[in-house]
Amino acid sequence: MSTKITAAKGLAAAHELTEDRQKRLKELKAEGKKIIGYFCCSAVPVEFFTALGLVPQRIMGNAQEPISKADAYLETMMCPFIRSCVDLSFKGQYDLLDGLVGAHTCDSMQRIFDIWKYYHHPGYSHFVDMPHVVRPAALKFYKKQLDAFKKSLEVYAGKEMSLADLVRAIKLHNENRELLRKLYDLRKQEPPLISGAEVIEVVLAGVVLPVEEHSKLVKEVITEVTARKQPRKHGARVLIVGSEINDVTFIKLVESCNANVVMDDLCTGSRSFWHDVELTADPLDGLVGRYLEKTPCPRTFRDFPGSSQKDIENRFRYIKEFCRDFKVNAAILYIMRFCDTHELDAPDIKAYLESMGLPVLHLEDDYSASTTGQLKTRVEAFLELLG
Amino acid sequence: MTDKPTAEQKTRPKTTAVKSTKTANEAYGKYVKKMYVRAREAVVNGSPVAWVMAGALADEILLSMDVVRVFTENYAGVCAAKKAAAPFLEAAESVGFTNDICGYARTGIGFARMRKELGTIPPNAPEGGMPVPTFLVGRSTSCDIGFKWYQAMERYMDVPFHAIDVIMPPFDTNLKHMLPSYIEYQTEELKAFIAFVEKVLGRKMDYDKLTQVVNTAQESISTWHKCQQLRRAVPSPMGTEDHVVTFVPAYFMLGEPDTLQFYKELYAELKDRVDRKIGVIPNEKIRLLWAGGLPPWHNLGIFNYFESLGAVCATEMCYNAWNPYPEGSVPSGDVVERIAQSNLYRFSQYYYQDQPSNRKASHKGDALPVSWLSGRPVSAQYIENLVEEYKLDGLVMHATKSCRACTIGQISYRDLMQDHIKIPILFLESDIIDERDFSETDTKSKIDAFIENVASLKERRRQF
Repeated sequence: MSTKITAAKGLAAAHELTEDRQKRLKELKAEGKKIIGYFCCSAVPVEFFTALGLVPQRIMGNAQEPISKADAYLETMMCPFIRSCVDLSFKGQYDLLDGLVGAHTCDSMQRIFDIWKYYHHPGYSHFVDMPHVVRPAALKFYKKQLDAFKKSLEVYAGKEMSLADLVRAIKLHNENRELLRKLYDLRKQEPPLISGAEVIEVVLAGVVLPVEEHSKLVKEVITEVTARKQPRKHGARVLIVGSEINDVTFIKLVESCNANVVMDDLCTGSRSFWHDVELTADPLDGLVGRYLEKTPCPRTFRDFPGSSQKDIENRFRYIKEFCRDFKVNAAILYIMRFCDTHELDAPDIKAYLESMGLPVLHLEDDYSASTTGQLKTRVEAFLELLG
Repeated sequence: MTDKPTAEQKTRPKTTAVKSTKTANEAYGKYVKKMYVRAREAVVNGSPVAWVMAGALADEILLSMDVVRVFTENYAGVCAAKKAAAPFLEAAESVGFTNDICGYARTGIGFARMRKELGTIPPNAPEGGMPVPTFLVGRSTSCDIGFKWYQAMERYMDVPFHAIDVIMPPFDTNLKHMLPSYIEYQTEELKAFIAFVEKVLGRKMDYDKLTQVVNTAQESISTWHKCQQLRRAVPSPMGTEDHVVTFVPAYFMLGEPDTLQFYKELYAELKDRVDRKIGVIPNEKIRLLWAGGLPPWHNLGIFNYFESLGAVCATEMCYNAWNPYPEGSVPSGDVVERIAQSNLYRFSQYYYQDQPSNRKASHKGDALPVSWLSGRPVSAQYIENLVEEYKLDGLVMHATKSCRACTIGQISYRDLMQDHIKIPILFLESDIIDERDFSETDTKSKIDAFIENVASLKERRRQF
């Protein structure tokens, strides 16, 4: 991928885009493109934006930027990631946005949508009401929600989303997801060919680029990394489980302790691309299946299968499979403070992973640079025990 | 297990408020205690018991199938009021449930853990504790905790568990277009729940009984609403300290004949007080709305502190009565669909522009300005109407550390109010259950300064 501003490719381009998230978006905006901000990985079908020629930008915070403005608008005892998003919005970081899309993914997200609208008056906005269960009636309801969202976006874009355009967009995003999974495959080797820090930069580049440009970048990275002659150091093979890690600081911290982060279960990582949209006769069915049914977000309730043990196996089996496929030998739960959803899951995930014989470190963090020192001490101590 | 307080329980400081109505004073013994007594009796008799969360829309369904209900949030409130929550909070925190998780959930999880490990109800558990249920009923209303709590608690329970998705349309949904899909979905969810209960109990729902229960429930809500309207009188006949116990039958025993009777008695008492101009305090100077956040169950006496300064919380947004259907417009038809419709009607009245509660002569334009109060979007117009009807002088916001659902939005609501009506707002901070987050000195200082400010403002307005 190269833009007018830089000729960087592959990993270098990904790094530039995480340092300056607005870089490519500013160019696209100057070309007349509309930029639509959206929250969350698992509820808003980005395919709709692509199908209508709109550019999606996933709204994210910045853990390295101290919160200074959000305190005047938001309570402190809430998701620090969302507070950071709002803080950045008051600092002009999201002034490029022409519209805002939210979804009912968690309490904080649900409330912030209305609060953001009240203060920023986006030109376009829509909230996707997402069911919490995956029963047949819920799938039907969510399909109607997506249909309403699609129609609303068409009115905004001033054109209809043709079936062909939507199918094309689904294929483009599926291709992008497959490329990211191929990139992750490079982590299966020992030592992995690519670091966890590099991977997260590549994944995060995707939230500030049109999908085709991101796919091109991922292909460049795969080629670049596959050709590497200098292997990474051997070390503990770590899985990170959590929600929103959207910069490299924590991952680099782990990898500085004689470890390689070889896999993740993060909203900003694998959860955002692990499942494709099935190509169904009515594309909305495929989108419903991918965004509601398949994505293993803890906000979605799976019917209780009769026992606690079976329920936990049902909910977390995919993490066991990650551990097996990526030869994980240690896990870190990175849980954001004030995130009830993940905090209530954490003890069960810890117990589940420990029952597989994995040592597990359960960390709580408040998504800020000030805790880096404390986290390092705990991670070091944990990884030292592994020997 | 005895109902009489133990020696240890007797020595605990009292944290409940002094109430002004006879009905409220008797409500704890007649209704709250009853919930736990009959749950224990049900277990002895082999009758089914369900642990339920408020707002699950399950009440009428469970009552119709003779399932005794225990509302675990109520139990956490009882524990906090009796200064007995700490062991349960610690039991949850010590196994990794961090201290910013909902206090209700930590209390429930901690209780369940202790009960399992001890093999019996934990000693000194208020009201004899909660017996092991036949099944659990979670929900998605208002907060994420609604099913995540029970999901996490299952490690100590291992009983059947169903979560009902209870939906509330976003405030700017085109309800004219989308409402049918909401009603359809909510109805299907309730039917799925009925199927679950039928499977667990091995018997079918009696729909005639359910219809009767739903009718009784709707009459209870109407009667309760009338009680609420009486609090508009000056002086107000009842304050929020009474409300936090008088809401119990509607929220936790809906559909029972005793609940209807309770609100009839409350109405009669409040009507009498209004007719004789008996207020909460003899010299009511300031009237407030408990606008944001759940009550501090660990220190309900702060309502009396407001009253010692001449201020009464004349109404509230937490666990509040909602507007019933206008006369003659109660939906008929499929009884399960009626439950779904009435829930959607209930939520929409806080922010849907066509609802009478949101109409205001000054409002122009299509979309109402909203922010979030106590777990739902609330339009500025809704609050403006309340301020006018109840002659309110100020709003009180209670930010609670472990209840994000009912706290997020309070600060931005301040700006919303500034843009619409200039009304003083007090911001308090503590928690719903965990008294470690409460500072009596700080709280009282803030109340003192606020009441002084409001009194001074009222005086200036009176003069000019």
